[in-house]
Amino acid sequence: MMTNTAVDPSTALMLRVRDGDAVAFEELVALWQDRLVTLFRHHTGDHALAEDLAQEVFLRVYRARATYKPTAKFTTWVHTIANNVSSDLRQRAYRRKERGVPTNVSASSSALGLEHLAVAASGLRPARQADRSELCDVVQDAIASLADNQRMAVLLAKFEHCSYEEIAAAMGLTVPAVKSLLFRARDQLREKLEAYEREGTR
Amino acid sequence: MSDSPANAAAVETPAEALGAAWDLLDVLPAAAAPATMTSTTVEMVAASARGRGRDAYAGWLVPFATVVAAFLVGMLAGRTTMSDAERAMLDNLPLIEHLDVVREAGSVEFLSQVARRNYPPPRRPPFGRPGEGGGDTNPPPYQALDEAVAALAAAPLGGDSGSAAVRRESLEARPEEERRRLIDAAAEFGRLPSTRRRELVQVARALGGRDGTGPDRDELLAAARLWHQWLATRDPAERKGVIELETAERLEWLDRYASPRPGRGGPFREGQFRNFPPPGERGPDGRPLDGPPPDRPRFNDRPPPEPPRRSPPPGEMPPRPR
Repeated sequence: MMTNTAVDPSTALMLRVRDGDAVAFEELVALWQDRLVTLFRHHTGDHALAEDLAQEVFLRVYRARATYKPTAKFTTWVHTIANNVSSDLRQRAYRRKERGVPTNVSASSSALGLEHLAVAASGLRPARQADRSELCDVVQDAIASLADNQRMAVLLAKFEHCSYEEIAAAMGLTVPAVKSLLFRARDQLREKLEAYEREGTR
Repeated sequence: MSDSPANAAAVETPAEALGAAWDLLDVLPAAAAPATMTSTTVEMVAASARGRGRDAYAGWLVPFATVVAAFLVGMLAGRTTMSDAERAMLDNLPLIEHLDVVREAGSVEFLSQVARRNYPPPRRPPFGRPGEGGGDTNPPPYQALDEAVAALAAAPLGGDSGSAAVRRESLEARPEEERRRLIDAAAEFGRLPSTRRRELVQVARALGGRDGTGPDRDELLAAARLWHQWLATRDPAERKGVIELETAERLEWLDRYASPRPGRGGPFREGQFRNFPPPGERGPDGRPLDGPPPDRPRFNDRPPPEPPRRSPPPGEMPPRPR
C-alpha cells in the first residue's frame, strides 16, 4: 500500500471522508472544485454544465468513499471518475441525438470546420488584431473539434499536469495509446489552428 | 509539427507530444468555481445521500421481504404439495411399512381360495426348527402378521392431505435407518406391476378391515395365518420364490403339498407327515400309505408268463389255426 498521505493532501482528506468525516469532504470539494470546473469547462465549452459535472464527480466520490483504497494517487482516482462522468455525458447526448433532441454539448462546436475557425479567428476583425479573448475562443473551438478522448487527454495533460501513465490510468488506456492519442490531437489542432497561426498575431 | 503518431514513442512528455499546440493552450483561462459551489455541492451530496439511504432501505427491504415471503410460501407449499412418488408413499405408508407381510398374503382372491379350500395345517415343523409336527408346540411367528394387520387397521390407506401431512411428520420423526428402509420399500413397491400393486392395496385394506365389500376379514386372517404356516415350512429361498407366484400358481403349490390325496382317506391325521407317512401305515382302502398310488401298477403285478410252445417233430406239419 502506498503511503500518499504524507505527500498528497487530497489522499489524506479522502481517507478521512472514507471514515465519515464531513468536514474533510467539504475541504476536498473546496480543494478540487476549481480544477474540475476548469477541466469540464474546456471539455464542454459550457461553464454551467462544467459546474454540474464537477458536482457529479463529487457526488460519485462521496458515494464511492467506502471503496476508496489509497493504493494510487487520489488525483488519478478523481480523474478516472471525471472521465467516466464525461463519457456518461457523451452517451446521454448521443441518446438525445438518436431521439432527435438537439444538444449543445460540444457537438455544435465540434462541427466547426477550418473555414469557420479562420473566420472566428480573423474574419470578424478586419485588422486581424485578435485580442487574447478572441484567441481563447479560437483555441477553445479547436479543442472542441477534437474527439472526446483526445480532448480529455489533452486537457488532463495540460491543465492537470498528468503524465502519460496517469492519463492512461484515468482513461483506461495504455501509455502508447495515450501517446498516439496526443499525437493525433496535435495534428488535428494544427490543422484547425493553421489559418490562425499563419495570419494571427502570435 | 512534422512528427507522425508512429513517432509517438520517442517523445518523453505530453508537452513534447503536443508541440506548439501545448503553448497555444495557455491562452485558455482557468475557470473559477462560484463561491457558493462548495456549500451547494455539500448540500447536494448530503441530500442525495439521505435520499439514497431511503432508497437503499427500500431497495433492499422490499427484495428481502419478497425473498423471505417466497421462501415461506415455498416451505408451506412444499409441505402441502408433493411429488406423485412421495404422495403414493405417504398414502400407502402402512402397506409399505409391512410390505413383506402384505406381499406374502398376496391377494384377496388367493386368501379367499385358501379359506374356501380348507387346507390342513402343515405337518412339518417350521424350517430350521427342531422337532416334528405340532404347530401347537412350535407355533410359527405370527408377530409380523399381527403387527401389520394392526397397523393396517389403525391407519387406512390413502387419505386426504391432512393425513398425508401427519404421515410425513411421523416419517420425518423416525430414525434415519428406518426412513431409509421405508424409502427402499416404497421404491420396491413402485417397481411392482400396477396390477400387483392394486392387489396388494386391496388385500391390505381387507386385512385391515377397511374393505367392507370384500370377504370376511376373520376368514382372510385365518387363511393368511395358514398360508404363513405353510410357507414357514420351506427354506427361505423357496419361500421367496413361492411368494412371487401368482394366485393360481400359489394354489397349485398348496395343492401339491397340502391337498388330501384322493383315495387316501382325506386329510392326514395329526402327527402324520404328508410326504413321508410312517412305514406300514395303511389307508382306508387297506393299501399301505408308503406304497405307490393305486392307479400305478406295481412292478411285480405283471401277469404270469405264458408256458413255452413246443415245436413239432421233424416232418410233421404244425397244426393249422382254425
